Amino acid sequence: MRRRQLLDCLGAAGLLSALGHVAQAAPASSAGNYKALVCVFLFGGNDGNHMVVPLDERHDEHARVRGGTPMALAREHLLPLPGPDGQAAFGLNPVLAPLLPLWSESRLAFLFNTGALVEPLSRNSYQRGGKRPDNLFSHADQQDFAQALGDVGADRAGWGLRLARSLGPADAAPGRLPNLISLAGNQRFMRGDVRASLVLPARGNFALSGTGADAPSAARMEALRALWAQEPTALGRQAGDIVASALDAAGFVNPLINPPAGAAPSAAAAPFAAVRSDLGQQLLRVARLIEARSVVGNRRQIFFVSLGGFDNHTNQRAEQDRLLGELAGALKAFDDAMTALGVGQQVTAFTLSDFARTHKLNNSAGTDHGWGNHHLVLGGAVRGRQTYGRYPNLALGGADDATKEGRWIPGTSYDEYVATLARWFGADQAALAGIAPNLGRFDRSDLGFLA
Amino acid sequence: MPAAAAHALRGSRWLVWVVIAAACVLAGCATPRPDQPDDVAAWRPPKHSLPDTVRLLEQSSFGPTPEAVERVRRQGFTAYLDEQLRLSVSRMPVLPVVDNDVNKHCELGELGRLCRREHYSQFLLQTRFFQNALHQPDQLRQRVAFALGQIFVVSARKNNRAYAMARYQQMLLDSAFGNYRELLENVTLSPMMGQYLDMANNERLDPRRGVPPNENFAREVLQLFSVGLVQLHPDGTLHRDAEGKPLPTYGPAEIAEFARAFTGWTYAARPGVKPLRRNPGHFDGALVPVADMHDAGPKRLLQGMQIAGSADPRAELAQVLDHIFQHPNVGPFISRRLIQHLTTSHPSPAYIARVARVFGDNGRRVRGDLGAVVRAILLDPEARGDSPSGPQFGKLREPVLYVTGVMRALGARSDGVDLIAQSSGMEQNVFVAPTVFNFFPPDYELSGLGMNAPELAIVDSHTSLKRADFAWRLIFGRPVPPDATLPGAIGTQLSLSAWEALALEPGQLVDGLGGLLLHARLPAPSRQAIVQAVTAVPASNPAQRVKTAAYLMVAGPQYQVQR
Repeated sequence: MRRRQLLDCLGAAGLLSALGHVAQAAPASSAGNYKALVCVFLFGGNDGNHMVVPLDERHDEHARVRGGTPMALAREHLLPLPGPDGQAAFGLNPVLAPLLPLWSESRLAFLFNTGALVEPLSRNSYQRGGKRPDNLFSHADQQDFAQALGDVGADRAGWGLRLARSLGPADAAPGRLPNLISLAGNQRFMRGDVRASLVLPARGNFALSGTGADAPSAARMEALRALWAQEPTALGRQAGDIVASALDAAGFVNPLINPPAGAAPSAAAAPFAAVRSDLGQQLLRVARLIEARSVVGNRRQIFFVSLGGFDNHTNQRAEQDRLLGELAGALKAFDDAMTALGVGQQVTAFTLSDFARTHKLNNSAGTDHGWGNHHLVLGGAVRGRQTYGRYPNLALGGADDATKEGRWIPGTSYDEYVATLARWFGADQAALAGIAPNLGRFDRSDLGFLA
Repeated sequence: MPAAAAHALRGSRWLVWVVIAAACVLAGCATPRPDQPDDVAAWRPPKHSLPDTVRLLEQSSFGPTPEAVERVRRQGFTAYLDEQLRLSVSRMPVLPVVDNDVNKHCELGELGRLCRREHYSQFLLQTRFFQNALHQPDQLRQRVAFALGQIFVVSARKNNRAYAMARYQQMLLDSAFGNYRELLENVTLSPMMGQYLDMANNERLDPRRGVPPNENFAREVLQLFSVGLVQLHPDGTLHRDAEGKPLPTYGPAEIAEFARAFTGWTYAARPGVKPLRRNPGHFDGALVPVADMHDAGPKRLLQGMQIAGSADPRAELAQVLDHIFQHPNVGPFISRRLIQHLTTSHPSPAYIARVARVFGDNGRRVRGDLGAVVRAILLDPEARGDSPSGPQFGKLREPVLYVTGVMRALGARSDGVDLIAQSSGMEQNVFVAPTVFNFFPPDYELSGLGMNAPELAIVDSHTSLKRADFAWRLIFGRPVPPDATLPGAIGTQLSLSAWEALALEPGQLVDGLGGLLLHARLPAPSRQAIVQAVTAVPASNPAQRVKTAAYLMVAGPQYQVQR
């Protein structure tokens, strides 16, 4: 195995073997039992109230708070989201227009007012000091909570890793890559075991220089691996494990995400032709890896991609709309790619974020840190054209407001959201509590948005 | 800067001498006297061992050079630190104020491109930063300011005007050994920070519309710049309640109160422009008070302290910053941050307590003396000695320190141009942090070990290869030619030819390089692995042998962690 891995990182050999596999399309995992989850993390705290707004009388509360401000979304500008009965209770921010076809085709759902909770809370119980996650409204803490649902186990693993570990033997059948892959750097989501995940760049090469086939180069590579393997300190060992997993994967995976000039046209890549955003580049590489799933051989894959810049305390509108436009464009291309690959039913993408924003604007035409948020779930397995959870009462200081500025106490917990995703992905009932540790204090382990 | 040729000559002579010295230290023989006349004049018996001196220079500079090691060994550590604390500041570029709108200041086309690079990107600042880090004498100040810039974070992501960032970084350089209270005020009233965290033009609650003040600065000044989220003992360990839960330092209510206290400031007016109530962004000169934007009402701050409030924003700011400054968390909080940036990621509580005590009182009844804190961090018994005080001692080299450390140790010279991309490729784009939480969080933990390792947060499968790739390009690659559009550019170059004298003795070659790079702590099996790889290169190719040894030494784990 060692020898083989060594050969793999010798660029050319790896390239040839990977391409060889593509040509043979070895049926290591038939299309039928492959599934992937794609976590799209919106860093900085996305203003979910600016994505989807009620069209009925509840719009009045939106208008009362945001009307006349740069963040106003007038009824007539919203794109109606008709349900199966043709009635539209909600409207979409027009910058998200690329997602409308997904809604119409029942591949897109909204999950309302979902966020960090450790037990159900009302305004009353919150103000009486009911239990809540530590350091609500702090970016770092709430990003951590969304990605780990609290500190679980000695390794404080992220829920992505816990989900990967929970897979039964059939689903976990080893492929050539770790089940967890981030295109957005090292994240709490997969933390806990550096050998169980891989971080790939959104652009450029994933390769080590100096891996020639001549004897001195081979000796140098062997020495480099030996140095890392011999390292005695904990810090060095963990860094060494990261290096080793990178070296193991690089020769194999680089040609898959970074096809050489003259490679055959890719069905996964075509929908991204006009997408330039960084999120688009990340999702393009996810799409390429899914396209190569028979070569990769993993039956279950969990991807992490991200879009940052949502922490807009000042002059929020233009930047928020730009980001949402980028999100919609990239997700639409990804959905098209999955459809083209024929895996629409098997790939589900979903959003997470630090928290929502205050519904009320501050004095700089921006918003401050909120709590419960609205999320997107998309893919062929989604029971779409529907919304899930209860849209919050938008009144400031109203029944859903933790404060006076419109910080919604979540009506649905992340744990319920994650359990629903995990169940679809293949986690059995017994495993859910390990993945979503607060689940036992909530009513539902399946919100019903996935078939 | 000395002429490059003379420098290279002198450098190589020293290099050969250090090789012999290092080999001798390993072999247990006495340090030889160098035989060049100019060296004899400077020669004094060493006061400190080679390994301890190398370690101190790793902790207090952008990496030991052979020259610095010899100098500091003879000068003594306290004299060295005294000198460093006194040295004049190597500056950021002095740049004129430019229009906020790039298109009003720079024309299109090639000339415009240079204008944009100079005034609306971090290029000149980043290159100057690397030039200072690699080649200037005030190493400790540069290193501490670099640390402070990663605690009091602003980012060009939000404001890429070079003059604005240059002034902020210059302020950190100037404040690096001053008083924390003064630094906190300089940061608070800096227009760069004023824009980054929305302190500028933040108005009191508008009673008509009920619009509250912006909470951004109030939240982060408490969470990141001073007291932190949870109450601390003087040794940095957490206060806990009966159930073992950490006690918060403040909650949303206090944040709202601080936000009110910080209202009433705007940018200085541009020269020749009529001052307004709310001036537009201008990043030269401190924020100025605007009384009628300020909330003069009473406020309830930390530990239940009430203040009456003041109609004068400046008077109230002084009171609020004093209040923060006196909070018992600040000493252990800031001490721990600085320790983590200089010496070790996971300091013992006793180490934090000793440094925090100096923060509380520098010996002359002054609280917050940063120069004294830095000295205490570097001279602490936990940081000193020929070898690390324990297996947990040390820190993974962050990209900038990795790059500069390798280059200074090997005698590379650079104008910094190439290093911008090298460092940002490893997720540390100098002055362009992704968020106010810096490139990596101070509480990042090694999986399952409960041990802090902040810099490991940006080491992943991708960046770990980028790190090795930097070493590859520097050592095996061609020199990077000078950028013709940058005055005084020298590109990036490295010559290891002085080491070729040892190419026939791979063991000595490895030991010689290891003296400076690893303060002679390469374990026997690792030494053997490198020697074998060096021996695999034909003896007829001494340059390749030297490169192989240097590459493995710095790409391997022993060097990646500063211990």
